[in-house]
Amino acid sequence: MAFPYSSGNVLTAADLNQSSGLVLVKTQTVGSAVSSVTVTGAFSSTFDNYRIVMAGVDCSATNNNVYFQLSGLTTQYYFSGIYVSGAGAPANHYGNNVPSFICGRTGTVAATTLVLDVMSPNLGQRTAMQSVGSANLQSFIVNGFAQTGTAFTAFVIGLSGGTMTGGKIRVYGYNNG
Amino acid sequence: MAEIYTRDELVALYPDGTVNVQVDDDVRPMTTDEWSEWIDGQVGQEKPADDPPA
Repeated sequence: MAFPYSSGNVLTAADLNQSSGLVLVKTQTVGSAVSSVTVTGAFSSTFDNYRIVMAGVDCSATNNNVYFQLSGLTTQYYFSGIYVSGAGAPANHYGNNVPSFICGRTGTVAATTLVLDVMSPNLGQRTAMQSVGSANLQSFIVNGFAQTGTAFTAFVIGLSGGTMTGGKIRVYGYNNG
Repeated sequence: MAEIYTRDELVALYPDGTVNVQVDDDVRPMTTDEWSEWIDGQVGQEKPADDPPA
């Protein structure tokens, strides 16, 4: 039954699941020794905004960057944020018309994690992104956007160096209500 | 000053045929051209420093 419901509708379990705040769109298991993962069918007209959660990913080397791209868009990313490490002072982190949204750091022993909100990726307009990415005691806290008029259905998560193995990338849609 | 990767070191770490790319559940090895470009993109990067305590 289509959301929103009306008085008198008989709701099924599927209807109730659909009405939750965050709806699981897709779960992608990360393969072995991959430099990047493209997740298709992630964005659609069903939801305006999305949350991407990556966890349990084991990288071959520490201290590389984790990046996010809307699939096929390799320019026009703008962001600013802060990089925090347990080994030094916080540092500015920014990009001005760069090839990707740099949002995390790599860690071994399943330590690479990322929580990323993506706003309006399928609406054919500027797509905003807000994220927290971390590994061990290193964190990126970043806000930014991709200057684009394209409606995207897929995205890429990759590394500036080394490879990743295992863990999962889950995509959730924020229920439009 | 941090050490940086040379091409030879990266090739030893990630020989041709051992690095994959993934689209959904399809995982395939990089072609030699893709791999070579990927290696070149990391030449000169700083080697990882010791992690702080987890």
